[in-house]
Amino acid sequence: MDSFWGSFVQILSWPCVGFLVGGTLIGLVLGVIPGLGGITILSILLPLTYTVDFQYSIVLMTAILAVTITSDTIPTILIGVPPTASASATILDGHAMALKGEAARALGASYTSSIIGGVLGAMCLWLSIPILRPIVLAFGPPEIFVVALWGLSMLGALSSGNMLKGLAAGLLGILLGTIGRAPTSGIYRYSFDIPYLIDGLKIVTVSLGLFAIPEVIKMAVVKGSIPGGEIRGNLLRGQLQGMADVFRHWGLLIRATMLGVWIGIVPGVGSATADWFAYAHAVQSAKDKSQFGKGDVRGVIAPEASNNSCKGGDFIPTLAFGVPGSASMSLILGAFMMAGIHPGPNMLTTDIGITYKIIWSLALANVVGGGVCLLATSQIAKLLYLPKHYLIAVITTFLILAVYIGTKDIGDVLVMIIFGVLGFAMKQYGWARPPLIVGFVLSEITEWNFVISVTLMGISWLLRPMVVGMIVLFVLNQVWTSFKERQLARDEALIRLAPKPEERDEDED
Amino acid sequence: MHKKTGLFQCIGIILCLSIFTVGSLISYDSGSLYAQENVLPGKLPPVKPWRPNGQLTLMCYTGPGTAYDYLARQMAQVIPDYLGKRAIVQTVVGGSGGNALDTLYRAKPDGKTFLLYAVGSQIALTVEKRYPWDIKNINVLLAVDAPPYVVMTSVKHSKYKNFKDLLETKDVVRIALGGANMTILPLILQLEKSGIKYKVARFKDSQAAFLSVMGGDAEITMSALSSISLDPIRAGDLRALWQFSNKRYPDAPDIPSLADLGMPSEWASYNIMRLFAVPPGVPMPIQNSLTEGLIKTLQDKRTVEWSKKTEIPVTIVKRKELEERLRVIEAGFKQNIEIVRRYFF
Repeated sequence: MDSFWGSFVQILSWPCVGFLVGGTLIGLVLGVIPGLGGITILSILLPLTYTVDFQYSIVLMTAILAVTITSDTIPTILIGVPPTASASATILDGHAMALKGEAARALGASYTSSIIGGVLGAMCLWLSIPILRPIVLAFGPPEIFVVALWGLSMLGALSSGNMLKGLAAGLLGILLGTIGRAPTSGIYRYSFDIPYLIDGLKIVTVSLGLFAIPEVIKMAVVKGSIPGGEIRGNLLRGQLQGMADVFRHWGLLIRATMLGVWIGIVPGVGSATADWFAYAHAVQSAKDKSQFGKGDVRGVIAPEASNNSCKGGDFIPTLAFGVPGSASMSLILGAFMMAGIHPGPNMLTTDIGITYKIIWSLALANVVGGGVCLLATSQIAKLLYLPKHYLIAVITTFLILAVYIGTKDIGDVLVMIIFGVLGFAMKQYGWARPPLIVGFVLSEITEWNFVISVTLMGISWLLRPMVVGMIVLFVLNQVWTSFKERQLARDEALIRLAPKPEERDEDED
Repeated sequence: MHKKTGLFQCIGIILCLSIFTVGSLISYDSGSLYAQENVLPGKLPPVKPWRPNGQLTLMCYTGPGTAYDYLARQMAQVIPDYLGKRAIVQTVVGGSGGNALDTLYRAKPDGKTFLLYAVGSQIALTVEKRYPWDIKNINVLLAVDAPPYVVMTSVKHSKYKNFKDLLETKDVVRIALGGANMTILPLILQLEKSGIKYKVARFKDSQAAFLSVMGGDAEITMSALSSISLDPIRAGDLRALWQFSNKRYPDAPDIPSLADLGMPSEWASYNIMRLFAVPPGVPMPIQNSLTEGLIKTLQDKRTVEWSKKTEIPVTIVKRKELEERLRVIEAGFKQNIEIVRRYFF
């Protein structure tokens, strides 16, 4: 316990606090730029680990990672361009709220849930220290497959009312996810001898094309400013309303946070998946689903809480075993390696001070980052009134840079444009895009883990306790959801059939 | 007057042809893998070492967070002292190294662009043609050795305490294979030779494969003897059964080698080597200067200290050994192409 509070005091003392605040500000500023996600920023700053003491560089890197997914909601909500794949879920309702003139409310809700989600994620990391290793080992390929399957079952919830179109889009996403090398045989599928397709399509390219390009096209076609009218009410009042919304939906906030932590624990699944899981859960668990996709604040609270809490979960396998929970964790591991520190059981014993420092950095960076964003919300919302022709030029440039900067492959730009056209067509003709992206993200995880489970265990993996438990929970969840929907439909039918008050008076007469 | 003009023209043409011929001979590539081995018939006078006139680009075929990426970044810090210009690291991922090699192939042959990649990509493109160009036209400057691969099992869940236990088993051995791994071939050949039934599940990377073994879902896995595998071995999570090396690796003196267990010594050839290469057409003096600069960078005190701290070795492989290892791997791959296609590509 002394080490826990001792780390807190160290973080707040100079120069550690300077690295914390500096990392937070760097993460906030660069998180807004499309394509510059946590991993790109960290790889640029990794050489710092050669010259800066490890205890400061780890604080800096953790702070950056913690807040890039907080500030990425600014372009997502205001202009409908998600800078990273993990902001795609927020666009559906966040941008819709901005179009209705509720941008400040959306931003207020987003930052508040990010702060709480991030702090709770750090707390979960702290609380799980005694059981870190058993938790990670409990998630084998069969468990990961069931989690992915659960995610696929949510395609219906993301279909915006048209189940058939949603499922078709989801299946198309799954098919697109199979492009490239098959996990078992090494055979190239749907690559048509094109070297670019050997490794499959990339999530960043697909999500930016599907969600960002249609917004840019819309901006070019529709005249006027983005909200198309006056902002409702006072900006500050809107922001406070957003913050109050978060506390009003505290149950959803807690559930989305826990979902993010659990997804983060599973190596290789990532915060993009956590976002969509949380969003789908928000839709499934809501009594009134009619406003989702049209500006429902719950569609902002859930994904934002989960993608921040996911960072705490990502650190669990990283610290416990030296297994990166996500791509950005592999860079954190690099910093460990440069410092000669070996993640593993010692991170829970002799090097526990470093673990506590990471926990505090996560929590404090989220508070500082979210706080800065909240203070600036009313000013940030004014960006909505910039002339669109300025925005289009800047956004298009950043989008192209975003997909090109990592791989220097022109194929990525072409794929983004193709998916942009597809996304625009889907939007025009009423096809939901979230099922496609969820199917795409989960396709590889589902197939890979299913094949590994069957190869190594035959069908005995179906009898594993955690698999059985998760399947039972899944079935119960589906039964409960169907029951509630039937009850709601019956109540609505009863209301429609009940005689109107005027008719009753005439009868009595 | 016209006769004198014609004479001067003839002399001029002869001189030009001579210079052209000598220049061609200087840049002629005899086909040897190592640049220094190309000698002209008769010695030329020593020339001043080539120095680049602009920034160098050190391409790396893997993304950030890998040993190649760290090695490239470390070298970029030291290269200016030996080659006189700043070096930047550019990662080109995808296609199992094919994208990086393709980019290298199309780069200008001015000596300012070179690539750090794995020998597996070289061999894969030798055995299976995937691009319109020939991999043999890429000039390999030098090779750096990587730690040998080690076969590991779980301390908690596995009943195999050593190599002998594994060879005597009657159960099906489940192998968790992390990523593309050339030593899968000799491992499978050994199991088949011993009549052991096996199943191989391919994981995305070695760490995911480790977790699977530590969780009891598979019996054995393999990885290079770097900190990635040494950490769980030291932590008591994994037990090493043997290493694919003819001599015991200094950082792992307790792990039996191929020689200790009577396994074929040529299996040590299947370990990773990290290659440095330049595009086709780079003149020989430039290749020689680059090679010398890279060798000095790798042997620099700063690189050596970094290597000790990160456990990423920087031992240069001698030319003869490199060619022999490549010959063994290529022959092995061609003979067992189906196994390779299934578990390596």
